[in-house]
Amino acid sequence: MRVLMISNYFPPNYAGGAELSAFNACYGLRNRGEDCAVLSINGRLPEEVDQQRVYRGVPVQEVGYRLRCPRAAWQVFDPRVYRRVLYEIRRFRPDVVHVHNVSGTSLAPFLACRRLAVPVVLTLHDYWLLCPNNMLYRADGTLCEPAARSGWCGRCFRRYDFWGNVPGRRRVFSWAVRGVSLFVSPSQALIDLHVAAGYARRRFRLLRNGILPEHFEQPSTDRVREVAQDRGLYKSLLFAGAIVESKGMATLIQALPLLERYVDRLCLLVAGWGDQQFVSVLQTHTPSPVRMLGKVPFYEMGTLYSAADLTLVPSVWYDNSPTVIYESLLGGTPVLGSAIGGIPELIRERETGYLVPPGDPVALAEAVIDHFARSPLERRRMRRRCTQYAREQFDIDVHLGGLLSVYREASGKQLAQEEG
Amino acid sequence: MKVSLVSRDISSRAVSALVALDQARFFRRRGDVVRVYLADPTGTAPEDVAELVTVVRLADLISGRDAHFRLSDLFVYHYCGHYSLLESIRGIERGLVIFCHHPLALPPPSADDTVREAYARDLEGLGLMHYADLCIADSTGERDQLTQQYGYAADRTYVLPPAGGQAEVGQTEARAADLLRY
Repeated sequence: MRVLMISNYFPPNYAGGAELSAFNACYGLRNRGEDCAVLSINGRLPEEVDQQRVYRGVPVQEVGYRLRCPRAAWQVFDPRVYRRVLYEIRRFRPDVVHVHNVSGTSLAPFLACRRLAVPVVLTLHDYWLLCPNNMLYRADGTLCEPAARSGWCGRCFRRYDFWGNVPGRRRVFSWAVRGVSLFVSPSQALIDLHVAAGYARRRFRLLRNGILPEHFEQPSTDRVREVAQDRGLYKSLLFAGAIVESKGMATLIQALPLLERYVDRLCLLVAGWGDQQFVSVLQTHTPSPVRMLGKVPFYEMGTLYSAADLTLVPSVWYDNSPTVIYESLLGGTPVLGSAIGGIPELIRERETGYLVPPGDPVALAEAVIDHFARSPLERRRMRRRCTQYAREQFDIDVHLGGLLSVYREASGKQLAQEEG
Repeated sequence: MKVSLVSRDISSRAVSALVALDQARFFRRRGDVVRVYLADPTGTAPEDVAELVTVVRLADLISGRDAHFRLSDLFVYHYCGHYSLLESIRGIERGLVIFCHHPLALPPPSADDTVREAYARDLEGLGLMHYADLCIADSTGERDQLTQQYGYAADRTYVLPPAGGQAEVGQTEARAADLLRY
């Protein structure tokens, strides 16, 4: 099967969970003998880019345009992206186009696919169909009710991403993606929120992301090597990801004094970058040793997960299906996560981790203290269960098998529509 | 893989010493990084494994000062009676922990109180097996004893007899390979 994946970013340029998911799928499909290529296209780059490259065996056409017109309308439809997607589809002649995150490309890829009547599968990594900042998270820290139809999202949490904030946005977006045959979601929570907002449940397929453990490499940086060497000297907590409010950084900082008081030899490892205000607080935090590791390449994260005793995912937004959880469990490290979004679907209470109410620093601290109060034997068994669970649940072959079924179903639907 | 073998000694003719010695040779030949931890500095280890031996105090193991032990993937404890290093089994957070049980010598009827008390302490020390992921007994009789008398889980107890029953040097090495099956 010929599959063209479209994404706004692709590793190694940027490797968040969505980009890794796209890479893992493309790499895995190619290893199975499917013909899969990537169009990494973005209309909001500082420099124009148009180059072909190969990343770990995956052919990537990287196209970037400068943001010429910052108006919302341009973010809804970018004619440069439209023309280029048309060109790439005609050139590659895919059986299916698989779209991932396209924030920054506008809705043009969908319109181009529709014009050429190519079946489209869209993996939803967040809530961009429903919300201009992708998160259903407001500036005051409250969550948006997806069933409520807001005409203009003036109270949104703007610091993260904010695009296509136009009147009647949901209707416009819903119209633009009406040609999408199937939506893929790694969490049931995301499906439910979209259904609550008016999307038909039958258009969604639940498919957990798959992980490729062989891509983890030995660390090349001293700071990561040191963490691995110090394993066992500290009770180490790991936070990996964007250091922003929505990921629960404020909650974590509030929990730190309690943790320091009740957990001896505590060490908080922070791998990521983000809001300078939070970074400064963490850097100057005393007496607890907070080790700021900065941005760690995704292929070195395996070492950190293995070295940590507990990974923290204290998100306060409807986090979809964080890659951090998948990878941490595979590395044998239990996860303490907020009971919000798709997080509870990935954690088995006290078996592979803990769930706490979002935004509750006391509950977070309590769960960490509880974890370290368990016997070393229990924690050792827990680690083994985490690895076993991740291998069973997040197996890349299961994911790829599911993906191919979705592609076949999408192609069939398209044929039926054309015949109908 | 980093392997830590913990034994009372490896220089005597005791079964536990011979098995530990051959395990050390086996893992080294496989390419694993092996250390043998002994509490007793007396006796001389055979020349070919002397470089693998570290004589330590319990504090060295439980404090994390010994990096190899702290970062090990596999821990094999040999039990032939209680000795101080065994206590480190309580705090292991990572990897796989195997408890190799070897028969305890029953004190003769003429033994004095000191010997009897030591034997009682050795029996009591068997409770440490509950900190292990797997237990290995030398015979089915011992396995039954461990599971029935000491309550260790039957599905995590395996029988791995020392070679030939005579436990001669070199013969038990093949058995060491069987460890990996578990």
